[in-house]
Parts: sequence; C-alpha cells; structure tokens
Amino acid sequence: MSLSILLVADSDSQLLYVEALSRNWPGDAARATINVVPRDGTPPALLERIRSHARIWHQPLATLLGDPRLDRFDAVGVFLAGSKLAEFRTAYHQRATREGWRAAPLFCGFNGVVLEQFDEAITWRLGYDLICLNGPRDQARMERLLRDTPFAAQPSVLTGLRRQWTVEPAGMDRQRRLVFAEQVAMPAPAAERRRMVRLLAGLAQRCPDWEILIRPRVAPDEATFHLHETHISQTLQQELGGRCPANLSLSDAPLAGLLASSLLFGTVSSTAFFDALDLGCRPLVMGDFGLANGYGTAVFEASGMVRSFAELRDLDAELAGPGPDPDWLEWMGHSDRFSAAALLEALQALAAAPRPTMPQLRHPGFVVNAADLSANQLRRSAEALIRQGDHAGAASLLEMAQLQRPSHRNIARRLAALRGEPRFLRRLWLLLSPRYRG
Amino acid sequence: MKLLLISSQGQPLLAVRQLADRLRAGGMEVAVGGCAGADLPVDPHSLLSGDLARRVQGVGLLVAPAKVPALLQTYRLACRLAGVPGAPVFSGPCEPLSGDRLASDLLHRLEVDLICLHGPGEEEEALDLLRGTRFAAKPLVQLGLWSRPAPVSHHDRAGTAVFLEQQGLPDDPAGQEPLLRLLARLAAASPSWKLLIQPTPASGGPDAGAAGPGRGDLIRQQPRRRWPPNLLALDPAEVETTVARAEVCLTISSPWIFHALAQGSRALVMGDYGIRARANLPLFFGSGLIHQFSALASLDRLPRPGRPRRRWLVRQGWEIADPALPLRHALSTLVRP
Repeated sequence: MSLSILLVADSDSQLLYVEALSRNWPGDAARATINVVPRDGTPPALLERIRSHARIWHQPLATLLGDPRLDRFDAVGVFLAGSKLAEFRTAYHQRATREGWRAAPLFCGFNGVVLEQFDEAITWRLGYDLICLNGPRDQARMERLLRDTPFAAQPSVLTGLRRQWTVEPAGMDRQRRLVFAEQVAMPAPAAERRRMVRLLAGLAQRCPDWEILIRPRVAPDEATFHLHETHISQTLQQELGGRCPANLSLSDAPLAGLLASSLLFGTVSSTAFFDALDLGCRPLVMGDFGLANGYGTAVFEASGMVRSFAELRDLDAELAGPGPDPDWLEWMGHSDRFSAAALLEALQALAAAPRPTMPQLRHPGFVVNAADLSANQLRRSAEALIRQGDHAGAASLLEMAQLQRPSHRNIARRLAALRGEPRFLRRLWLLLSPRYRG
Repeated sequence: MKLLLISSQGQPLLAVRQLADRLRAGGMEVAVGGCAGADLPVDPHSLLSGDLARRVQGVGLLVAPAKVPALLQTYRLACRLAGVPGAPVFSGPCEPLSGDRLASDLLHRLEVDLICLHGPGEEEEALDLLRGTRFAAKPLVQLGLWSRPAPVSHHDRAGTAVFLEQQGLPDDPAGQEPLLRLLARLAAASPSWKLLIQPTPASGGPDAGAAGPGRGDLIRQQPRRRWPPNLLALDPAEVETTVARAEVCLTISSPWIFHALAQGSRALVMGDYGIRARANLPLFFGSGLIHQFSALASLDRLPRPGRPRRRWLVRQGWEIADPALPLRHALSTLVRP
C-alpha cells in the first residue's frame, strides 16, 4: 500500500532532512507532499531538488492546520522547533476531533546528529505516534530518560543517519581536495573561528598539492536557524587577507556534489560527516578545540577520525589509513540496518491499527514540554479560561507564561488585568489589555 | 587510608565537606584543602606541588571541571620532578548531574585515574559517553550521594517551606521578579506558613557568576511593606541549618534538594520553566517531584507526597550508604605507573 505522507519543515536543515527522508523511501512505498513554511533565505537549489520528487506546498503553519486537504494524508511528519512541534500536534488533533475525522499518525524526529539538549528535545516530542531516532545511541538515551516514568512506552523507530542512498559516488576520478564544512555555531566565538581559519590555512601550506576548500554553511545573504554575525568569507579575509594560500578557497557549490568529487572531508561536528561517508569521501574531525569544548567533538571521539589539524601533514596517509570505526558507526545509526523503510513499516502498521487514544501527557509529579506548556499555548489556554470566566485559572497559566517570558509586556499586562481588584474594574482592565489571538 | 581533597569555594566546598565527613565516618583520614575555609586553606597548586600531596593514598580534585586539567598537570609534574609515582587522582561532579551537564562536566576530568560518580544513573551515562573512546576503560566508582545525614525530628518543622535559590536560575535576569512575585503570592495565601528564600552557593557550573540579584537581594532592596511578613530572605551560610528545619523544600534544580530529602523533608521541583538541559532538569525528570508552582493556590495545597520515586532515587546513588568502602577499594586497585 502506498502511503500519502505530508512532511512539514521550517528551517533549511529540517528541509534537508525531509528531502533525504522522502528520497530514500523504497520504490513507490510512499508519496510525499512537503510543506515548506515560508521564510526568507530558503536556498532555491534545495527547493528545486525537492520539487523533482515531491509535491511542494508553501503554507504558514496556521494556514496548513486549516487546509481542507489535511485529512487526506495517511501520515504527517512534523520537523519543527520544539514548541512548534507540541503546538502542531495539539492543533492537529483538536481539528480532527472537532471535524470528526480520523487523525493520521503523527511522527517527528531530528535533523541529524543530536549533539546537545537531547533530553529536552525528547520532552517536546512526547505524545507523537512515532519519534524517529538516528540509531542505538539515541535509543539508549531516550530509554534512559523515560525509564520508570509514565512515558516509558513512547514509540520510536530507528531511521538511521544514511541520507545519500541514491546519489552515486563519482568513482575514483576525484580531486585531491579536502572539503571543510563550516558550521555556523561550531565554533561560535569569533576568536575560535579565526583560529579555525588559521588551522586550515596552515594545512593548505603544508599540503601544497591538495586543495583545501571551505564550504560555508550559508551564503552571506541566506537566513538560517542559527544566526551569526560574521560570515566565514569575511573571517577568511580579515584573518588572512593577502596571505591566503593559493590552494585555500571558498565554494558555495552544493555540498553533496563537492563530497562526491573530493577525497577528504573535514568538520568540527557536522552531520555531513555521515554524508561524506555515503558519498565515498573520507571524513576527518577537527580536534584542535579539544573534547570539552561544547562543539560536539566528543561525540566523534570514538570514530577514530579525530585529528589535530595543526599537526596534519600527510593527507595521503589519511586516505590510506583505516576509516571510521564500524562499531561506532552502527552505534550512531549509520548502518544498512536503519533506514526510512523502518519508518514506513511502522506507519503502515499504525494506519492499519485501530486509532489509539490520545496519550496522556499530564501526570502528577511529571512535567513534559509537550503538554501544552509553551508560552503561546499557555496564553491561548488562558484566553479560553477568561472567556469561561475562570480568572484564577487563567492567571495561573499566565503566571507560568510570564516565568518563561519575563520581558513579554503583553503577558504582564494581561496578568495584571486578571489580578485587578475590585472585580468590576478587573473586567475593565481585561477589556483594555491586549488579548492573545495566536 | 589518607586522602587529600582539593575543593574550591562555594557549593563545592560545602559538598566536599559533606563527603569528607562521610569518608571519615568510614575510617579514612581526610583533609580538605585548596581554598579559604578548608582544613588547609592553601592555594591548590601550591598544595598539590607540596610534599603532603605525595604522601597520601589518594588525591581528589573535587573542583569545577574546567579547573581539573591544570591542577592534575601540576600534581603529576611535581611528582615526576620529585621522582615519586604519586597517589591516584580521582575526580567527579560535586552534585548529581545528567545529560549535557554530566557530559560537559566529565569531559574535563577524563585524564584522572578514577572518575567518581554518584550512582548507577551517572555511571550508565558515563559508560555511553566513553564507549569506544580511548577512555572506555577508565575506572569508575559510585560513591553515592555525598549528603546523607540522619533524618532530623519533624516536630519543629511544621509550616516551614524553604525555596532553595540558585545563582543564575532563572537564566534571564528579568525572570527574578516574576519568580519572586510567585513566591510572594504563595506566602500571602499561606499565612500559617513561613516561606524562607535560601540562597545556595554557586556550583561552579553554568550558573556560576551569573548576573542579577537573587530573590533575597530583591526583598532587601525594596520596601519591606511590599512583601508578605511570612516571606523571609536568608543568608547563604545558613543553608544547612535551614534545610534541617524545613517541612518542605522547593527548588528549580538545586542539589541541596538531596540534602533536604536526606533530612526527611518533602521536596518539589519547579517545572514551570519546562525541562531545560541548562537547568539540569532532565536529572529530575523521572523523580516524580516536578510540579508547576504557578498552579499552586497556597502552600496548604502542596502536592502529596513530595517524596521521590524509589527507583529514581536508587539511580542517584541513594542506596550507597558508605562511600569509603567503594573508594578505598577502587584506589587500592589502581597502580600508578
């Protein structure tokens, strides 16, 4: 049975993930519609690639949730930031209940290797019918977090870290080139980004018969989920100026193409490490910032591919040496055992099964981020209580919203109105204070 | 067995003193040094390069993680120059941690001879962190919770609630006032209670040195008439005695909550900010102690029972009664090259 699946994504890294997910479904097992939430700076080339194999929608989330076609999908995959995940899930189920149609299974996941805040992220994803995890490492972490809690039975599926199944490597006719994938936030401090540039320049000088190519995370005019102040091209110019080695350069060419035509790849901690493997390019991890750096290098320590770029002298020897440790690769999820096929199997089983009851996310003694506890959800719920005349309940919710957003003036005003005395004046304050309409 | 424990001021020193007391109760001879207020108030580098540090059977670097590598280097260099192998060096987090906080803490301590953890939960995470790395065989030992005094009688505790305040939490300085107003609301709605705001010393972790006044400072800086008379701000030095007289302790994620539980107090962890890795909330996720304080009408309506789930407590090391036993065994089996 071919499933009709809606995938919802916001940032370009989320789009990259859903693109890979939808490209790697076996045969005609599924047909994808990808809703790209409109935002400035989404790479046009990415949208073109998606268009080649999937239907594209461009709707803001509020519009999408009201789209009359929403009930036609066999499954909906949601790849958004934490609070939006929870809000989408709630709004989707509320609409299905209100209109009397069977809600499709909802699934979510992660964009790639999860370097930090995994526990927090899982608590945003609880309640989804399926959480896609990369591999055994993430599965172990989730099991540990949820063990002996009311959420221990949260379903998950391992979809792996292989994203480039269908792209054929360019064979042995590759350039003696090391592609270094810049990450916007790794490292983030300007001094360390300058150091990174110096390390790459030093490598270029020591290996004159190799090309060292920096592939910026974003073009200077593209927006991204992670904001930064100085583009890497400016850092390169400022740090090296006229002293830039002739074999060190930048390129905005698609990373997959660069990897498929290069022999080596370098990164601090990017998920592209695994894309490089898929495309036949030997990855190396820049270990010069140490392990305890907050940049995720420690995650790659067991790969066997962490190097001091300051000391690298023989890139040909790196080609000849062993590749990443296979046990570590499997642990991380880079294995033929884990793929989007597992997701499809699980979705087909869910589609055929009786619809389970909505999971209960509120249990005494437990708080999960997904239980309608984002500031916007609290404000929305508070307005509903105000309409019902439950001012005390509404104040309680807005008090919590204010704890999360202490500088938000409208929350403060609405809360002050709810606490206004005497009661007849309180109604006046409520009329005058800004109502949340989100 | 003689041990030298190096500590730093603030929360680490209080925690290390508790551990030292328990190790002494287990028959070890322990000196705490490296900062003002310690048994040996000597600069830690001076202490580690001195003769005393080479004559003990174990050196504990129980300081903030970023300080460990330099101290370890000093000790090993001093031993090398003196021509002696030196004692095994152990180190570990001074408070129970989980997730990102535990990983970032342990990554600074990997070059020591023995890593000390609190309980099975931390050990399980550490094993995954080190899996497949050159540190995979690093000796680990569980010492239990460092604070395990005997429960104190309840008779004079009724009606005393303590909010264990932490520096740097909430991490938005603008969040101090809303939290204080919430506490003031609870106090005003609970005239038969005393609500004590107890600052706890900085842990040396992400909250160390954070900007902004604490709730106690805000109370002291503003007109007293603004606050309910049963809302009181205390001094950081009083934390141990304050916890001892609390019927219930409330906190975002202070490690002193374990001390409170050991004293027999009830406990509530504040879930209003959600599960945030930076605030160490994932540690408490399975505890059964997390509640939304903004949903509380008064302290008379505190959720019951206020006791953590047993399995969660065991994972924190609750059942390890004597840290001296495992530590002595672990140090004895280590051989310094």
